[in-house]
Amino acid sequence: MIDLVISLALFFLAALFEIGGGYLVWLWLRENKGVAFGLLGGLTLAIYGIIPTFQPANFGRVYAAYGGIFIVSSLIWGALVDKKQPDRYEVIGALISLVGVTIMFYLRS
Amino acid sequence: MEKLEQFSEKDYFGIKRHLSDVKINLESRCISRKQCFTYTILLFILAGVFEIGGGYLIWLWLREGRGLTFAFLGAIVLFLYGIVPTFQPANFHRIYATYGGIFVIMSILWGWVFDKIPPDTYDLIGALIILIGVSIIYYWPRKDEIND
Repeated sequence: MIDLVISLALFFLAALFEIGGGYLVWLWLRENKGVAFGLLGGLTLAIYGIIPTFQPANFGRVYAAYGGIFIVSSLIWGALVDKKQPDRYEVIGALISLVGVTIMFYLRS
Repeated sequence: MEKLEQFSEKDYFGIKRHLSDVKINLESRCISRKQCFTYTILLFILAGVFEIGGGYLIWLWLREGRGLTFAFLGAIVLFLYGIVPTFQPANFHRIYATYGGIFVIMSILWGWVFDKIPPDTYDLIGALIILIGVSIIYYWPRKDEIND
C-alpha cells in the first residue's frame, strides 16, 4: 500500500515537472515570451527526467502507468494555469484512458 | 497568422524565424483532415522518441551507473522533446493530454525493443483502451474549432 502511495506521488511530481517544463518552452515559442522561458523549461524537463528513476518498477512499466497520470494532469494544468476548461470530449476521452491505465498497471498486481 | 508574423520579426540568430516558418508550413498542411492527422501523429511520435530517449539516457546515468555524458545528452534530448509539441495545431492541454496516451504505447514498444520486455495481455488491452480515449480527446470533431 505504501508503495502505491509513493508511486502515485512520484507520478504526479514527474507530471508537474514535465508539463511545467513543456509549458515554459511553449510560452517561449508559441506565446512569444523570452528565451529565458525556454531555457528554464529545458532545465525543468531535465529534472523531470530524474524523477522516474526513483520508481520501484522496471523502465517500461513505470513509463506506461505514468501516461495515465499525465493525461489527467494535462487537463488540470489547462484548467488551472491556462484557464481553459476541458471540453466534454476531453473529459470522456480521459476517463476511457484511465480505464486502460488501471488494467495495465494496477489490476495486474 | 498575424501573431506568427509578429513573432518572426523578433528572431534571435534566425532560429525563431526558422521555427515559425516551419510551423506556418505545417499548419497550412492541415487543410485536409487526412493530412492533418498524418502530421499530428508524426509529431506525437517524434515527441515520444525524444522524451523516452532522453528519459532513458538519464535512467542509464543514474540507475546503470553510466557517465555524466549520458545525463547531458539526456537533458538536451528532453529539451528537444519540449519543442516538438509547439508545432501542433491545438491548444496546450489538449496536445499534452493526448500525448500522454501516445507515450504509453511508445513506452511499451521501447521496453520491448531495447529492454526485451514483451507486452503481455494486460498491456495490450490497456494500451488499446488508452488509444481510444486519447483519440477522442484530440480528434473528435468540434463544430466551433477550425483546426479540428
